[in-house]
Amino acid sequence: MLRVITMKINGKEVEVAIDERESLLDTLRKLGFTSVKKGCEVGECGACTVLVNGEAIDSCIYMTIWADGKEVLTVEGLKGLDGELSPIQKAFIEESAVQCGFCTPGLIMSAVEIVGTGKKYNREELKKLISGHLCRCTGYENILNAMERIVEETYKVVGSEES
Amino acid sequence: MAVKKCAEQLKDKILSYASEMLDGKSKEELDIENNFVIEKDTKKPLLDMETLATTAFYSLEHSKHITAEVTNQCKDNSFSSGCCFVEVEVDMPLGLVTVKNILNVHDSGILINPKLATAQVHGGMSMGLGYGLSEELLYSENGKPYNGNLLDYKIPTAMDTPDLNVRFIQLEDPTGPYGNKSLGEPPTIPVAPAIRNAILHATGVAMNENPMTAQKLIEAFKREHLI
Amino acid sequence: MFDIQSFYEAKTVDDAIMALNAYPNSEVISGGTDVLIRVREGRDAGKSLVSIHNIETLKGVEMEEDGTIVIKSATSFSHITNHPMIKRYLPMLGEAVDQVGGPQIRNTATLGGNICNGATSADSASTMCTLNAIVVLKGPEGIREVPVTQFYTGPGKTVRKQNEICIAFKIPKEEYENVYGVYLKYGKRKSMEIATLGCAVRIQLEEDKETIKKARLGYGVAAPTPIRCYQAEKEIEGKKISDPALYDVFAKSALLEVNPRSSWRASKEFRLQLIEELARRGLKKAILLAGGDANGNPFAPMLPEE
Repeated sequence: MLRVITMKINGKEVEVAIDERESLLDTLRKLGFTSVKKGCEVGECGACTVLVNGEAIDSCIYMTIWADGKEVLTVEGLKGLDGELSPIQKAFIEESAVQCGFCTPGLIMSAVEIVGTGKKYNREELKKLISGHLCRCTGYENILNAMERIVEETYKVVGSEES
Repeated sequence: MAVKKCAEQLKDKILSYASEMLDGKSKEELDIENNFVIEKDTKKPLLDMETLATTAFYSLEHSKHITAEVTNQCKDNSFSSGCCFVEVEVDMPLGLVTVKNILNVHDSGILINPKLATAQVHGGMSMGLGYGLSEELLYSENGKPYNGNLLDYKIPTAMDTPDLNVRFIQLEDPTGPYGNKSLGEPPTIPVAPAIRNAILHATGVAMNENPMTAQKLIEAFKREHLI
Repeated sequence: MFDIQSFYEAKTVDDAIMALNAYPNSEVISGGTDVLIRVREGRDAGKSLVSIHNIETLKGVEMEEDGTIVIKSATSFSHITNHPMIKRYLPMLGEAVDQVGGPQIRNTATLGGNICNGATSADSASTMCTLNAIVVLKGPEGIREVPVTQFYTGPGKTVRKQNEICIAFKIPKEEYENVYGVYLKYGKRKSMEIATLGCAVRIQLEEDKETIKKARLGYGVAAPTPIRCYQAEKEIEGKKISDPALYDVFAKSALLEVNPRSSWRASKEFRLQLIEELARRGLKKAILLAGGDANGNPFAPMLPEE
């Protein structure tokens, strides 16, 4: 059945007609947010990760209707006013953390959630925090280097030891 | 090598055409830099590549497709060599192998892009770790795969992957176009054998089957009366 | 598009029960991380789904006047792990559910779903069994309470009726106060994993910190359903933690109570080895957490972190 729902996608309120049986992944791609990748479709690979109300979720196993009235953030929403990349994306480039690139948008979104806490994490903690993403190319090494760099940089600015 | 030769041939053809367009300049006096045909001695830009390409394509006097094709028959390329060192901890009653330290060293000649080369080795090491410890496609008697999905086919996650250390020995290789050698597959190759030998060193048990899963290790340790 | 007949987003618990009652082919969906995968794989295709995902009254952790901790069924794992009350009184449960899937799954998957799926591999189940948690179910006839240890009837099967919704879990004060424990998950990798075996051990020591007052041992994947090993528990209650036979008695009697099977994922023999070893390690870890000098017993196993 068709339903009209309202979501705030990347800060912009949108009204969209959806089928009740749709996954958030399908809806977002249909709306042109193709940074959200369709990988395994069973919540294993993490390529479709987006933030819903600030929390990273696998959009392939999340019903669109659940996002009614909520805020959704994808990689497209990280773009600066002049189209420049976000510090997280820059860190990924500078650390050569991207190879084939399929896992990258999902990992960037997890990074946004992690960095958003303003907390400091050691490498082992970061490994656990990105363990919901599978990457075949990088062995996670440079991804973790990029995460360490950006977590460190953010902590310097907004650091808090609170948990 | 074929790419290099082909590029050289193409460049020569571009400069020949440029010399036709720039009256009085021989192609020996010209070079290409930043998408411009320049004067070799003064570095002065003389003609941009877009104009050259458009002219070559649409010219009413002398239209020409500038293309190059080269086949390189390779009979004397050198092997690129590499090796892997690992340090493992074996939790024998649970059959768990933890790679505590891992280092790949490769001689792939002179590296063209060292950052990307390092990243290539990381990827190979990760695949080697999966190959040696967790990745296997399992089939039923009728040949139906049991684990044809990313939950049951065990690619290592970040938590399963130790920090990956990479070193290069850059020996100039005369048979490579820029002194370089291959680095596509070599990083994957030595990892599983190194893990196997480290397990042998730690426990005295020689595993001869990949992946060396906990169940297979426990069976082997029991056979040897080690647990 | 998911291959389902219909999808109903319930506004309240009663609304959901009514919808379930109206459609006998319908199933509850909460976090969706199991149901939607079963739909995608075709096992649950064609069903009608009744969603309790956005019912706020089914979320959160509370304490009743008598100290009973109430975890609402649709609380996600990450919210359980990060809840101050769980951190303070039930760290073992918080750590157990922090091993489910990966971070994105834990942001969506719920405790109610994990238990109601009836999977023996559910990471929360063995811990909930050792806590003697009570499952609170609501159906057309009202509310009823079932101990989680009597909740499971077979693989994927529980006593919950099709038109009932699990609304909460209750954990009695005597099960968490001064009782310490650990959940050891054993898998083929450290994340995104279904447990090959899960072992939960909880121990309360007498005030002397030398005698075992209360013991709890639960397993996942050691039988068709999550189980408790009552005999093994009884064997060590009243025993000194320095008793040379302590670990052997505990682990060996556990072996008599389990019933693992061979599958392409793991052989029975392999699982039996894990059951025995994890019982020993879990016991030692729990004694250490309870403040006992586990290392004073030369027959205690070595833990990986030592």
